[in-house]
Amino acid sequence: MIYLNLLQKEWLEVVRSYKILFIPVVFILLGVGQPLAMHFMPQILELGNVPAGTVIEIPIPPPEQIQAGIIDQYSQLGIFVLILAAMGVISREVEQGQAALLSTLGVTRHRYVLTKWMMLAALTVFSILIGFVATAYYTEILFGSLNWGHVILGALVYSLYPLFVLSLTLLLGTLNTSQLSVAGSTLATVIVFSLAGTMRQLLPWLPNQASTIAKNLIGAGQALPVRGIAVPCIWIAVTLVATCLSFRRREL
Amino acid sequence: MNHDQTIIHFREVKKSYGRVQALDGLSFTAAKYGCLGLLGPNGAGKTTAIKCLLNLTHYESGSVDVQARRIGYVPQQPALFPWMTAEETLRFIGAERGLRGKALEDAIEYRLDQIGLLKAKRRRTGGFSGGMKQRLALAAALIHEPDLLVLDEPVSALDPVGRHDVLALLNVLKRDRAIVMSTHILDDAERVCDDVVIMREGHAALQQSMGQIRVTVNLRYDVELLGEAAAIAAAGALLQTQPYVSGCRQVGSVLALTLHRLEEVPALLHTLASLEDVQVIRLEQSKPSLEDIFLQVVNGQ
Repeated sequence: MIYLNLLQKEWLEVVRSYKILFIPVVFILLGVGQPLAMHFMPQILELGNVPAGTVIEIPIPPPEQIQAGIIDQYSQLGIFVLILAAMGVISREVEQGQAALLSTLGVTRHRYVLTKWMMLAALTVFSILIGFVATAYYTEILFGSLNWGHVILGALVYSLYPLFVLSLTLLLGTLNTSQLSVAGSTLATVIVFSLAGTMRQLLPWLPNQASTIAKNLIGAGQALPVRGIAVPCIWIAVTLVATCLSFRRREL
Repeated sequence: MNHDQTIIHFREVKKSYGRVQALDGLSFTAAKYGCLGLLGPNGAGKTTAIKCLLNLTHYESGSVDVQARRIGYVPQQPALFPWMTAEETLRFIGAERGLRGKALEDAIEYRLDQIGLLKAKRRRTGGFSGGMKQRLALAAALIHEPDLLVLDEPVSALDPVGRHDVLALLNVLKRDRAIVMSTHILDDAERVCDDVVIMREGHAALQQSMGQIRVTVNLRYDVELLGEAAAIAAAGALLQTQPYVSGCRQVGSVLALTLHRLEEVPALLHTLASLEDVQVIRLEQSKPSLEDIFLQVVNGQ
């Protein structure tokens, strides 16, 4: 109940700043671009300077793999958009004094952080779900039927990675004063995680493992490994606790 | 001051930012009713003191004891949410303060009317002028009837009419609550404050009531002499050598003198008796302005 008023305020911000509109739209466009590009690839290539008489044959992957392919799009451009949307959420409010005002209203530091996270997390999961559903719709029309249970479950499992990035952005927002440095340091950390993820021994312990699990579920119908899901959840929890602790020390 | 009557007790508070000592053993008290002014030049530590008071920053040593159950705060730059309307701002802050239902709606209407923003209640605060934001921030701070109102430069962005209205409101509000107000506008402090703390280099150089302060700080005696220009020039030449004359200035046929002690007046009159064609046209004890007092304290006198 004590979170409700603060969540309503966050909701109003998300609506009035049009984040509620542009983030889902970005994820829909990134997603549906994948089946549409695959479907129209021959025509796209013919528009280029292809010598007359050239026969273009592109093997059409199964619909499950097309659907799973959007995860790579989301893990690059989608993550970038999420970082941009979240980079000023704490540092800007500290700089402009709203965080101090909330503190004098009796809003504890951890309630402040968790409310911000909850609203952004809801927006992120909603955007990813709607993006996955829109993509699956076009994939089914253009390439054949999909297992919708796997699509929805895959979207939820994949969301764990963007949620970790979101928590990381908030953590770095409590440590940095400028929004640019928040975005820069978050991106740098995400790139380090991506590079580390290429090492097979490290991947099971990294939060970006969620993307691999989601890809395997949607693309090949592989079962969900419990430990594989627990690891990103632990990363999110640890990052959130660190954010709360770091924000407690922050001058307002 | 009796401890039962105090709402704030700062004891030897020290706070530094790196090598800069923002507060250097600041001690002061504030009464449960009335207005305390925190005065001081830029960098004296006023805003840091307010941050310590509101628990917005950590301090290295000392203690800050605040007895208020409900605190209202108006920062120097009103921190509002630009996407909210005035009404929504008060509804959010009021609800966060524990108000619900009709009590909340009545408080919103009352405060918006009190600060003259009732007609603008459905406008987003992002489009408000600095003065409107400051008035709305004051309404937000008052929505839950706080025991303690903390104001950091509360009228700095207001026009003369807005300033007059807000100061008049503060004079009413201080009757049943404590107000702590930092300001560098001494005229405002004189109009509202019952007690002042003059801060210098992170500590309280002086804390007194406005009444006490005028008695304690040196009074001044202004004397004006009138005469022919030549006679006034001669008088000026003689008087400025006298040890009891602290200021001597000739403006045409008038010589303005300043003395600092009442006991010096007979000595002056004795000297004047030896001068011809010069008459005393004014001898007046001047009430020191807060600015005089402030400058004396800040300059370490």
